Amino acid sequence: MATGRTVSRWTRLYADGYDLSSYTMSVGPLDYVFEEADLTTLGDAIRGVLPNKPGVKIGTLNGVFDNTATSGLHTVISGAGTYRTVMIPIGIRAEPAAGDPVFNGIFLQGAYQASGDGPVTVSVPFSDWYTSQIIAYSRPWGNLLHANSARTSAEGANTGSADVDGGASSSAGGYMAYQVFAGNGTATISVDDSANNSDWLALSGATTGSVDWSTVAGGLVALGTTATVRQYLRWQVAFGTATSITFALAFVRG
Amino acid sequence: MALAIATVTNSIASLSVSGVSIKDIHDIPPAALPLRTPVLFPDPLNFVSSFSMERNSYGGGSTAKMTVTYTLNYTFCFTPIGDGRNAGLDHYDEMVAKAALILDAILAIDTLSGAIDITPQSVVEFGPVPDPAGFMHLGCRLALTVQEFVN
Repeated sequence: MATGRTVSRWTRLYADGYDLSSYTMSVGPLDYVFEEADLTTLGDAIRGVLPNKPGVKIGTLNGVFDNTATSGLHTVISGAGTYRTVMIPIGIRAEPAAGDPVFNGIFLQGAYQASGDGPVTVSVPFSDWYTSQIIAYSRPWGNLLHANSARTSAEGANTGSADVDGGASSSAGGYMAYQVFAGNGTATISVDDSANNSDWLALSGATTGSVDWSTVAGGLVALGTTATVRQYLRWQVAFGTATSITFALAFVRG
Repeated sequence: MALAIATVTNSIASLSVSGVSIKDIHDIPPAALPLRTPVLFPDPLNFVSSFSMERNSYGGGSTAKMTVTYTLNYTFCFTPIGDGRNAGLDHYDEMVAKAALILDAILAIDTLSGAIDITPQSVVEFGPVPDPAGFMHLGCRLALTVQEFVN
């Protein structure tokens, strides 16, 4: 994982198992904003506030109109008034890699607006977290464990070292976010954790279970809010009938 | 991070374009004629132009985040004017094809060591262009815009 500054061309946008990056011109602002509860009393010299509930949004996706079968922006998200499971990894001066920051959530897509005098473009405004999909966590920012790429059954399980070093163990749970872009059968995507980057165990609850990924999908899997997540994290796949799946995986600590 | 113009030019020289020799700043040919091959080289005159710097954060020069943008100018010499039976013009289509291959290679760059981004800014003077010795060749000039982060 590289660190430091970056530019917008290394941002990627995944929604519901589709990589929409090459159709997206811009997206944002990626909002994580707390309401302010004003608790100022008559005796206070200045206004005093406390953070109330936060709002999480991805702002507006501006993209190019494209009706390519299966994957074009128009084909994928021209239906508004529904929710999208979104993952926005930000690569650091390169394609997003394990450890890079990722913004996650399930948001209401409020509209789909096409316009343009020259090239036809679309504007897709997203609202807050979709109410029926609310989880027990408000943080949208996590880290990428597995960048968008294919894994095959021939490779087998991941025996590599950590994709993310959290710095310390935590006991506030978290959630994993996944986007599966292609697959040809069943497989289980999950997260391993470790206290020492050498002895690995499956992180309890952080698994998709066995799913047939012939249909692309995106989703979040939340742990209990007091679950222990050890310092080091890595991606994991157990192949069932699938011989190949292409996916991105992220984890957000609570 | 300091300015990395030399790294950028080295990266450009490492691009692979079939049938074209791409030169680095330490390797500019005194004349293209003896090479007997299409050659892309840094313009000795005005190689770096349109330099600009935007300060992105507080701090002195050693700590402030800065974004630097500049243009690198290259000349592409395909064949000497007069070569062939039609004063070189019978090679014009081949020259254009090679110039397009060079542009393709630049457009296809994902990451370039030393630079945050590199884009073709302009391709001008398709036709006779001089090599460093002043001999005229069929070719063109390319201007590449480079963006770097400093600090």
